[in-house]
Amino acid sequence: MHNLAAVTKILLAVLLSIASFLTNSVSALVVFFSLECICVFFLKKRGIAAKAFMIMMIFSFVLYGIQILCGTAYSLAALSAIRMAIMADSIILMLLSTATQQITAALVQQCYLSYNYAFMVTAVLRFVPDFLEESRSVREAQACRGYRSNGNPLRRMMAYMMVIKPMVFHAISRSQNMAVSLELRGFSTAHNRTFVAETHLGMMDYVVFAFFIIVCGMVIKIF
Amino acid sequence: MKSIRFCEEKSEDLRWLTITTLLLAIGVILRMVSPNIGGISLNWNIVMYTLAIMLCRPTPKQGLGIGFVSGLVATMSSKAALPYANLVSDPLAGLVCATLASKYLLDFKIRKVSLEPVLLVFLTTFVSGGSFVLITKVILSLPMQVFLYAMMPAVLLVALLGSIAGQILYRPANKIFNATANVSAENKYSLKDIQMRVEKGAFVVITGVNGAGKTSLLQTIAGANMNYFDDVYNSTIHINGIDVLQTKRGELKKRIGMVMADYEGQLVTECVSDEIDFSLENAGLSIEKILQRRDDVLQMVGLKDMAGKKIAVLSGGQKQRLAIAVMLALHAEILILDEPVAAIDPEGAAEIYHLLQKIRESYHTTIIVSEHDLKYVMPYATQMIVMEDGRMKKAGSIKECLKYMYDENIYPEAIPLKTKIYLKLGESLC
Amino acid sequence: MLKLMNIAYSYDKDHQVLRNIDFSVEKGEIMAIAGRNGSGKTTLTRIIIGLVLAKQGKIELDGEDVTSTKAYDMARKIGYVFQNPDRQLFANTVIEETMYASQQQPGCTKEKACIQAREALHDVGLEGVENKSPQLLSRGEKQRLAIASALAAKPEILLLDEPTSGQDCRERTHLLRLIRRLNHEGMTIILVTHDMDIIEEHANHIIVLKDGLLGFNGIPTDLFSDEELTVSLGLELPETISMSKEMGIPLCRSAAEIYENLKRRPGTHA
Repeated sequence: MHNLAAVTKILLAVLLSIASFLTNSVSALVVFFSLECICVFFLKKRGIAAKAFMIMMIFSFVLYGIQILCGTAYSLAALSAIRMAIMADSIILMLLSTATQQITAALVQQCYLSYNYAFMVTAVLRFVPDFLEESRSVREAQACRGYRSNGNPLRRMMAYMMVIKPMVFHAISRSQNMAVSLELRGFSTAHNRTFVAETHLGMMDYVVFAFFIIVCGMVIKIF
Repeated sequence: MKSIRFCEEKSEDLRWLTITTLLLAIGVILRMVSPNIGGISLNWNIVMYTLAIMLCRPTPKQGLGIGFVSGLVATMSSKAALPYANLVSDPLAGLVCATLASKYLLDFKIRKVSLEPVLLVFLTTFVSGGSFVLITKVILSLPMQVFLYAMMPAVLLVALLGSIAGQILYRPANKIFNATANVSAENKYSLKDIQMRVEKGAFVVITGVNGAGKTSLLQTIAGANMNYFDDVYNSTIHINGIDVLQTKRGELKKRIGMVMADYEGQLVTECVSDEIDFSLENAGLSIEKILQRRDDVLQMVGLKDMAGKKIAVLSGGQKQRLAIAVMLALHAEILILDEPVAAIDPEGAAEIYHLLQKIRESYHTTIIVSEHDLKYVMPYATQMIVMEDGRMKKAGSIKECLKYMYDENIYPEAIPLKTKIYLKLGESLC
Repeated sequence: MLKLMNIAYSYDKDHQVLRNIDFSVEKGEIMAIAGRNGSGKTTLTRIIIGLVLAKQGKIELDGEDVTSTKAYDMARKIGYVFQNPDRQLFANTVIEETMYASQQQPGCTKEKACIQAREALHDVGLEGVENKSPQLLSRGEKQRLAIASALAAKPEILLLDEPTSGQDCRERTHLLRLIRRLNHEGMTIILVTHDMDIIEEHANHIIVLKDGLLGFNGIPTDLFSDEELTVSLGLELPETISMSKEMGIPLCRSAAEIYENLKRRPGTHA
């Protein structure tokens, strides 16, 4: 599964989600869901996927429960609950089997997204661990000046601004240097950009995609 | 005579991109760590990108793109129950926000205090949250009661909290953002009297107090476009036979690599190998060439076994070496480093300079470094430049420059101990 | 004044970060904490200020047991100045920033905090910028602001983490002069630093950590005059000491001393 092109996986996720709306049969949806569960076995990060699937199932039950409480028919409630699980799980499968660089390469080359925005996605994810560490460090620095997180939730949120402000200000100062650095690395003048990440569609991609279309079509027809 | 580059067209200012990226990253972690009331907290993503939009006032199209990035990041980083909804609600909100912001449509003032932040964040959150819950309701056929009495009030509450946060953050943020951006003609910084002639393979060290113009000089040589910078007057800069002031920026960028003081901000991808690929991809090199060069440079800087690792787990010294590797991969004939060892411990500092010397010996690269703590660079440097107040005060061998600094009392604090003692002794015998 | 007795800390059973740490800081001292990366220096500093609680042992400050006192309460007694002031600056004006720590203390009114803040800003040489935005100050000014902010709360001890890292040489000299002056006025100072030259010239007490144990506890000159011991603890000799040895003169603590010694030595020429 990891060897499929990113765009194939994106399309499959969308396909499954659309397919789940093309049928009003609970059994059909259960088949789709089982398909996704089978896909989990092809993943390397099975443990994480299994956990995520469990959490989604819990959300589905909660959704089912809320709808029943508000008087929706059992079958309708079940339909929307399972649909939600299918859609969320399809994205989880896609994310856990594709590297970020592959996703952005696919978005730019095959989904025609402007490179600026695809780049921003990877850059945001790159800085997340840095800022996480910084938030801890700022929190400690402020604690050493007497900051403590107590009192009612609203007060705690307002006090938390003391942790947020230094980070925001630091980000603003850093943005200037980062902009200069990107310009120096030829970011805005790049016309013929190449991509190291693989985006070519192989035989396997077409086979798998065709397989899924056939299966979904059959399931919808049967149920 | 103004340098030719001053007359060049200014390239796109990428600040909108960088500030949005950094603020969105903060938004992502705040969702994870900030205090909340029973699971409901501000939607920090929205507050942050609205703040970014207010700071740089992009076009509506860019706002749409920013919203899309936020939606994508939200989809990829959180286990959202309905991921696709973010991909519609956030771009829509981003578009609305940028349109309103670009025309300052919500800029109402009460006693000189602008209410734009609170109004804009509220509206943006309402549009984003409202469309999100609406899509959710329709797709999952949720009952109307849940929508009207639980979801919409939650959206309104989140919008209210977010708008307060936005109001508190905007004014000081704006002050800092515009500190360098809107510099008036009189306040622009310029350099004067720089007479620099550097041969290929030299190792130059530039010194001077903070504010003397070292960074501006280095960035000028590298071909950077600084909005607070005027130009270089009455100067000639020849490096490796290139007349820097008469060469176009694009040409300079191809041949010169710069590692800035904030090297963390220069590393923009997730993995070590991706970082090296980034510059090479921009240059349009073929994949085979990229892979070959990547291996070569990682070997050179000693990071070969870290190729697949995430940048976040590298130490300060390793990140610095990665930044150097990135420049090497572009076959830069001139390598510029701005205070490379400022925040690194002594062992790491010695290693960096050792690496620079190795690079110089292997590739005959010209190295230009700005430094305060001269003891690390003394064994390697062949030439020195002393700066003060934007002017070059002295250029020559290390010995000549240190003596000059001592005699003229220009930044004498930086003179290494031994030299200082010898100079003082020499003086006492005269 | 500050006593640490038999402090130990570990993250888990196999990884003992600190063992048997015993030392005390006298009032009016300048004490330095040194050690390579990984020696436990950072953890010890965090234990002293209360960000982390020791697993074993006792800490006493002026006779009071502060072993389980957390950072926000320790803030009253120990002013901690972080290595990177950017991690702390949040206020819209310099004066607001400086007042924060004192305002957190119970019983401190806004007026009192403002007065203490102005005094602290005067002490560090930052008058005239009270209404400026802290973000727009230079690197050196930001570091001094961080010190003022800690001073304004009138702590008993000032703990500075790598105060001169990232600063230019001129600012470094000013900061050290400031630290020296504060000490003359009675402030007890703890310095965590990599810079042996600072320790040799300014500190009168040093502790060195190696692999979580206390490798040395005493006077800097005693440590640095024993080159073997210094190197075995992973430290470099200060420039003044290594230069004195090279020139064959008595061990000197500062450039001025070296100069005097060389001048007096017969047959000296540049």
